[in-house]
Amino acid sequence: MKSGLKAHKGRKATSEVSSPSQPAPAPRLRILLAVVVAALLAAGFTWREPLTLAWLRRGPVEGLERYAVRHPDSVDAADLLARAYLASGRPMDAAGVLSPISERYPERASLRVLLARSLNELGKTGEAYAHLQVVVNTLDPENAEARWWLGQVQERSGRTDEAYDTYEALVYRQPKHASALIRLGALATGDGRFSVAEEFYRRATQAAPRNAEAAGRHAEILFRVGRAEEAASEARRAVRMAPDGPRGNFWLGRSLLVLDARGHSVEAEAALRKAASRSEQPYEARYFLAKLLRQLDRTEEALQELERNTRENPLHQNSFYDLSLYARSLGETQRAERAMSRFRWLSSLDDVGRHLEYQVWAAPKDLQARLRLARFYLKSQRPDLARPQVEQILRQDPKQAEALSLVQQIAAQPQPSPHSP
Amino acid sequence: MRPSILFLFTSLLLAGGCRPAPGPTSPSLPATPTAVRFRDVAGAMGLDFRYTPGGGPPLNILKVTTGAGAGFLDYDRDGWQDVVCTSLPHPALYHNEQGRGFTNVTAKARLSVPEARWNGCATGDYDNDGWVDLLLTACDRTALLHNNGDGTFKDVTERSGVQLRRWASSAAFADVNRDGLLDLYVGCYVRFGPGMPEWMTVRGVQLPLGPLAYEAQKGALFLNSGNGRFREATREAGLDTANGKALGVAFADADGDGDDDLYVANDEMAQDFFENDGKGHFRNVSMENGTAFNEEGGRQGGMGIDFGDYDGDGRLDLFVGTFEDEMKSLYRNTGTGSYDQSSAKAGIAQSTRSWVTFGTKFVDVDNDGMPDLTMVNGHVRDLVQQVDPKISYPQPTQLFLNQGSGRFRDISDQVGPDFRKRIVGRGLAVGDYDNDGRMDLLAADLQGSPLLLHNETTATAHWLSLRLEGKRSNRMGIGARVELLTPGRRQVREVRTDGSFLSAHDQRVHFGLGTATEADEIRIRWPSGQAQTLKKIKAVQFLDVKEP
Repeated sequence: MKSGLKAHKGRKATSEVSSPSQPAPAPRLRILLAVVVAALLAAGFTWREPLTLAWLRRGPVEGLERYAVRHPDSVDAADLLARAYLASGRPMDAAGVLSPISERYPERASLRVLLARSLNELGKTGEAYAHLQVVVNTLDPENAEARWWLGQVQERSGRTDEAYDTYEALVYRQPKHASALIRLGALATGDGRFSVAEEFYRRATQAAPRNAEAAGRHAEILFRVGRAEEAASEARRAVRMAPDGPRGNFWLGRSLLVLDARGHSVEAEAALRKAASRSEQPYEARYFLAKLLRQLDRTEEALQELERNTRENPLHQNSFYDLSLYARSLGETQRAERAMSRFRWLSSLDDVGRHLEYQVWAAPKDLQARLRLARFYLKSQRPDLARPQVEQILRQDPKQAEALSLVQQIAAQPQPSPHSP
Repeated sequence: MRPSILFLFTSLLLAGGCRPAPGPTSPSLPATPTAVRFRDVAGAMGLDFRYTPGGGPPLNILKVTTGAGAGFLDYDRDGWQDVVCTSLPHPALYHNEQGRGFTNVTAKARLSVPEARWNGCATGDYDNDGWVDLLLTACDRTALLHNNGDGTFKDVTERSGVQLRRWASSAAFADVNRDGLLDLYVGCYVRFGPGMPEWMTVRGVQLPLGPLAYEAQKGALFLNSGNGRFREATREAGLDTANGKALGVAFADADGDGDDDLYVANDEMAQDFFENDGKGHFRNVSMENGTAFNEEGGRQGGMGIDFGDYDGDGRLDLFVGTFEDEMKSLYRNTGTGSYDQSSAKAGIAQSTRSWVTFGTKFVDVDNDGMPDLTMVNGHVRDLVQQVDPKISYPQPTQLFLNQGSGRFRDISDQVGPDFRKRIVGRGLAVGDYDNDGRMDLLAADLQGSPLLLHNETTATAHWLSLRLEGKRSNRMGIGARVELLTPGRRQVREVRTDGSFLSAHDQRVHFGLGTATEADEIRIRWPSGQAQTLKKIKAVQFLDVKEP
């Protein structure tokens, strides 16, 4: 082999030496051209799939699906397709694509991470956990994505202490991993370790100065440790980055309410209104908006906000309480007592009752939910509260057998109502 | 005789039973502006008591929540405030040597009670013999110590019928049915005993479970029968509707109708505000009047409490100390039967939020006529720093200076290093132990000695201190409402020894007069209903006032 190389080199050298004075542009050009073409062909062969996939990922997912079917061994295609599925909320499809190919390529860490992510979203946290453990312990201990998703899986399965350790390990490797820092902050907050949480959120905002969520959460924890001025300033920063962001607006409003509601009334009101209008759960924002309005001596408007809250969320206990106080302050005794009666009733509910009420409120046409609630009230010896639920069921389905049976049970029970709504 | 002195003399005569107190001498009048300062003189004055939680870390709920009370009382009527400290295993009584020091007289005074985890104290002359008696609370008992008038006490718990086998926390004496006899309310906390779960683990650190893990115990009202005996009347008085888990209790005539209402601060429960109908029957109105929850709409860890008219409108407002990450609740009395939550408006929402506040008191530390607000703090998790390095078990004491117009200013950092010393604050008593006309503070540190914070505010404004003695009313005049008028200011106080947390206070009613050299008028409404007016009372004196 060694001698062969030498021979080759010798031949080439001979040829060059033999005709130094005879330029041959045409053959040289041809050779060059051939080399270029060969290089292009080689490159085309090598880059054909990435180029195709890059093209396909810009179109509808069907293109990727067809490509993946034609190329069942293509890891990149499976990867891209799974990501597309996950992005469009189809974890089942993603897992369907990833399972076979990750079996064929068990050493491919990225496939396992994606598969684990899909399984996590399907609630199969045990399997997801196993895949991610393989990645972080064996295949690729430095894989940040794997650690991130491992933390997510652990959180989802209630292993928050483990999740905390996982995120900590991730942050140790990537000190500026803003998402991990945010989760660490959230977990520390959950444990009541507010100053630790504040530190994590502060680091998250430094790592990602344009991250509105980090700023919003930082504002929240600053507020909770009694640093409302800094909270307001951080919340303002969050609002500048995401003017419609409910979190930033909410904590801006809350902070200003504590600092000097009158002095910042316009800004506080705008922030709380924005938070209420942009949040999927607007009730807390509206509740504090009502507090602000009350402080500004606009009690009627405060009452309107609270009335709206109680209409839209009849389980929002605090709104009933304040509604009662504000109405009483205006001398509207009946209105106050109605609200207080509802408040007392909500207070008397245990967690189960509250949960069942919530289910009925969230899905008023769900007959099974109403049946569960009616059964709960009957068991709690509150036939007066079971009755309207059963009546509602029978309005929707007059022949509902269990509801008809419950009617008889209700009639058989005495009717105490200490705090009926 | 100059006309003004003649007028003063005449006024005093007209006032009937009022005369300068014989004991302490009145100091001279100040002349320069005030700078509030406090210095801990406990060691120098011989207050060598040691509070102890009774064990090493980690400490469970039983060991960290209560167990460090403090009280001022003049048990020998020499005009000087003596001190009582309560903790495991025995309480201690210190005699005040005319402001020059304290001597431990526990044995001499026969303050002998069984070994127990003694929590707090309450003072009142329940038998109207002119000598202040002492009630002690413990985790499984109470003790009533009758003052024999000869410098000794006698344990009359069994005979008196105030024995309570519950976790008793703060207690208070008041004449709830206006029969001239002091009744007794004892707040109770949770049911806790051997075999119950004690711990939770956060980041591998063992921390005590909080009150939510335990069943509530409810307080008890004992009505004074007048023959040295009490009978429990909790249910008949309507106080069985309490939510339980009480830590702080205080009476006040909050609605100004002449009877004693009761506020009970409960730990992570709705709070209780009991309105008295004048006959000793109570209705829990906390939900209706807006004092059940905090400003953020949530349940709060209600601990120490106090009533005081911080905004000078003549109505008693209410302050409730709470747990960390909870707004401390300042409820402003609107005069319409409801309370506005005013912590944020008053400027105390921020700098109090991260502390765990126990003892608290409205007290006019600079004698400007406006009650300031002070509080002692201390966490309930002894190992909290292991899970949160910036949060400590011992915490600083706080003082908020009343700015007028309903706002306070946090001056905690400016009143001296001793004031900022971190302690595991629990009880907090106020009183003028050296009779210099400046209110001092006695703070109980669960892991150390008490702090006797001597008020060394330079060049205080003028003041006036009244000691009331009832005739038809209870002898100590507890529950009397005193209104003092100076040009441009009306101050309202009540004779009380309760409030704060596990503590008892100087029974004298202290007024700061600012620059006024006399009170134009002092109106007293005695618990009996009797009204009395004193006119043109000179400032800077201790005054004894008898019910006509």
